[in-house]
Amino acid sequence: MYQLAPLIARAVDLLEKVGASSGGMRARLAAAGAKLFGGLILKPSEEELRWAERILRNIANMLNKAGVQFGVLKDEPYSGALLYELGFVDEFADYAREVYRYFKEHGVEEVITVDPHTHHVLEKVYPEFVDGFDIKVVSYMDLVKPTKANVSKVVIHDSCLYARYLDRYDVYRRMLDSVGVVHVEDPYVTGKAYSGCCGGPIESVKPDVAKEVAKIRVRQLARLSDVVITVCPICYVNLSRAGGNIKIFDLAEVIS
Amino acid sequence: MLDALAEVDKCARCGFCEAVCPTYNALRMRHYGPRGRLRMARAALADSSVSSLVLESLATCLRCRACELVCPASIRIVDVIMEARRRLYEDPRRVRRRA
Repeated sequence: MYQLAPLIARAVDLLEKVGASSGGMRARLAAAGAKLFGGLILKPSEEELRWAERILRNIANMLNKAGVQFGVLKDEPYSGALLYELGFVDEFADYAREVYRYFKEHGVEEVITVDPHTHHVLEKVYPEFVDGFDIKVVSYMDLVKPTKANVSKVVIHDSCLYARYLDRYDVYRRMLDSVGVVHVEDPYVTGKAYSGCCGGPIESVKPDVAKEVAKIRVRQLARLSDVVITVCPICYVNLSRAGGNIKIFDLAEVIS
Repeated sequence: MLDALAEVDKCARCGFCEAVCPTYNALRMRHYGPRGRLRMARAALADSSVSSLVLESLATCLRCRACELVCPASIRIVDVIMEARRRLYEDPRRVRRRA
């Protein structure tokens, strides 16, 4: 999903500019325009593409260092998480069966995930919709052993999925502890129950509301530190849209 | 199997969920919070046609589950919203446009 994040950022900006939140003709025109000219107008910059590549290369390096043997599919299929999360369940079910078929054709027995949306749908949702789903799903966070960090004091913006669906709230905290990074905590800002969502899941439905949610979240986080760590590409994109005097980094940008 | 209507009817309308809901806190509109969304879900599950506000309400849930962790009745709020949303998307003609 990291490869998709720069494109999502462009698409959401476009949706916001054309007033997609109010629906109607303007939103329909934007959708038609994106279909026709999406390859041109949604093309991410070199810098944005390098950001995604840097994160994925760092994760691959950490996996290699930990002695994990893995490969990368040439045409890695998207998990379909967005379809499920936006409520298009029947379409998701068809798509998931296709992805499973593709995995089986390529002899995949285990998938290492690098983002919470992919991990959640593969581990928790695919078994509900794909008969006989038997692929093991493991997060890179469970495999790597970072030895250094390039930040010293941060605040963590939790992924709702990692914290409240996948029971990984402590996993990335322990990783930061292991490399001596101080993470400032406040139960009403970073607690498991109270850590706020970034607004990202509705950025394609109501980009203006998503941005408002992100602005509130950025204000809360900025009270604790001006360095914010995200663990999800969607959180990174949506919090980045909110502005504010903070620096946002993905976890895999600051540890190695 | 989720009995979505039974889940909706567990709601005592205490409003604890609204304190933690990101969309409610951003807009301060009841149909943008979990308590309001449960009422909207009831309409989507039980009524033959619904206002477009119902669609707006259900489609903007972030599924972040913050509300579920503070709900005294342990309502499966996100699952109810997902089920109601699925039923609406099955037949979008049920949604009345606002004048």
